[in-house]
Amino acid sequence: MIWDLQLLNYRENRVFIFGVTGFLLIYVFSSIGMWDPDGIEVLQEMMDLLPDAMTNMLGFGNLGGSLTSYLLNYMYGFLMLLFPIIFTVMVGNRLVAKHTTSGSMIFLLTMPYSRRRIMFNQAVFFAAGLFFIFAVNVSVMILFSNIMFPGMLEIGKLLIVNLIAYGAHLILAAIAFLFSCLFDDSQTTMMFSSVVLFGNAVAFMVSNLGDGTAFLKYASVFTFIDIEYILEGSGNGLLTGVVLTLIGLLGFVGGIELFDRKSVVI
Amino acid sequence: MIVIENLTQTYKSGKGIFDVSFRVEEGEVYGYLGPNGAGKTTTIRGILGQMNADQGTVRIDNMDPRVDTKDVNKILGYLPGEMTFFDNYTGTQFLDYICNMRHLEDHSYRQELTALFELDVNMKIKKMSKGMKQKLGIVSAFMHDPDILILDEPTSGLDPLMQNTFLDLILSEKAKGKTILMSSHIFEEVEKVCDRVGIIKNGRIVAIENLNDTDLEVEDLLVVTLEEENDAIVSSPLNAKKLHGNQYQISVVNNYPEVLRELSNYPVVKINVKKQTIEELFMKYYGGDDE
Repeated sequence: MIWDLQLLNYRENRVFIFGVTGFLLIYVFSSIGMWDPDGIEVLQEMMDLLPDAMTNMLGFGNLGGSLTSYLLNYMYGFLMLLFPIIFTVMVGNRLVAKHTTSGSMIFLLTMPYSRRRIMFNQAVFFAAGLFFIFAVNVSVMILFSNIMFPGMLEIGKLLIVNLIAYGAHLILAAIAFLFSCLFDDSQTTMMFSSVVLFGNAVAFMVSNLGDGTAFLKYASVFTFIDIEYILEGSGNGLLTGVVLTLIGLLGFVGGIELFDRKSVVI
Repeated sequence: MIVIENLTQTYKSGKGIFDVSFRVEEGEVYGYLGPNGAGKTTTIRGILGQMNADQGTVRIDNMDPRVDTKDVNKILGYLPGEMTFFDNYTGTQFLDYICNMRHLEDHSYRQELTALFELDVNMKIKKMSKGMKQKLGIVSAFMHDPDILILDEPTSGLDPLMQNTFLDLILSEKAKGKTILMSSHIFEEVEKVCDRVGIIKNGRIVAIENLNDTDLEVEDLLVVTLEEENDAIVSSPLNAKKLHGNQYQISVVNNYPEVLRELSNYPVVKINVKKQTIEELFMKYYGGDDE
């Protein structure tokens, strides 16, 4: 690991890491704080006042009767899908393409390291940044739930959902990283990353609207985050999460190789 | 030593560099000159190992910079023509980053260079003037005492005093046996420090000249102001042409004594020497138009 490069990456991207983490934490605290084991019907009735299309799209259609079901549906129907994408699009661009466009890439590539090693470090930072967002939020979910409602959260199921969600986001991050390595300018990278990544999230949310749009679930990697399925204890969520993570890591390897072989505009 | 042989890179637009060959010997300062878009930066990309050339080779101390990037970068210092540093860094933080990346523990030369260029490194880079950024770039390129220096428009943005300081630095590095390639537009600085110059035009090397060659006819342009308009000077033996009013331009090519003798016949009130760019000078010999 090149720690000085990681320090540079941290300084340049910390606002997105802590910003997205902090923003999600607000929802973690408020959602757990709002939950009342005796009044879940009231909360569901409140949600039912909203149009079905909206609640289904945001994943609030069926919050379930347990804290785990409520928290997973509330956080992973929309919030933990969309907000990490902001981090992914911005940081993916800043780790490679922004340096290429601005010219500061020269202060990375003329250092005594191979290109592959420089890009490996960028990829590690990207994956680690995303992991941090999930790790902090999950840790706070577990801690705060145990303080407020001891023993009510099914931690195993929460971790499985997060592993799958992390794997899915890692695939998206790998796509953003590939674009960043492929294009020589920041604007094109941002455009392609935004369209593909937000398109992926929107496709998933719209697929929840009803049978007419259900086919869109095949266009989104988030389809693998099947909360009902995991709550029932069906399938092998652990394997799904590991496979998604491995695919994401392979994507990063592709980006590193692509950058290593290309002519870089400096 | 830098050896470039038949380096070719064609872009989709048809531009690029074609069969570029030259070498820069150890202890030599080589001026690399050409108009904008001629192919200087593309050649430098090749030297830095950042380009997949269509054909040709670049060797730096017998290493291929595209393959042996890590080892080449250890012995190479590069000053870009246009510099963009990292957001929100101070000069000190940036230099620390470069030092740490290069595992440079001895900071004495860094401090010497910072003092030489009177650089305030505690300031945020984004608040620095162009000249200060240029000085920061110079310090970062030189501070690890590299054997080979690639300098793209190194004096751009520096005031005349600092330009001289920089040229003295180049001369001292040259005396240490460094291999230096620099691009420049200013003839005086090239003349002062370079042993040879290569001229690139439309992607092809059109001339490699030894600046110590006394046969090289160097033209100076004098802008002469007379007391009053007197067009007789245009038809005199002086190679003069009228600029406007009482101002005339005289070309001097290794014949100052004759020019001054003839000028003494006119009521001269002012003489200015118009600086010629190296490109203007050499394109006169080798160029024609830019197309």
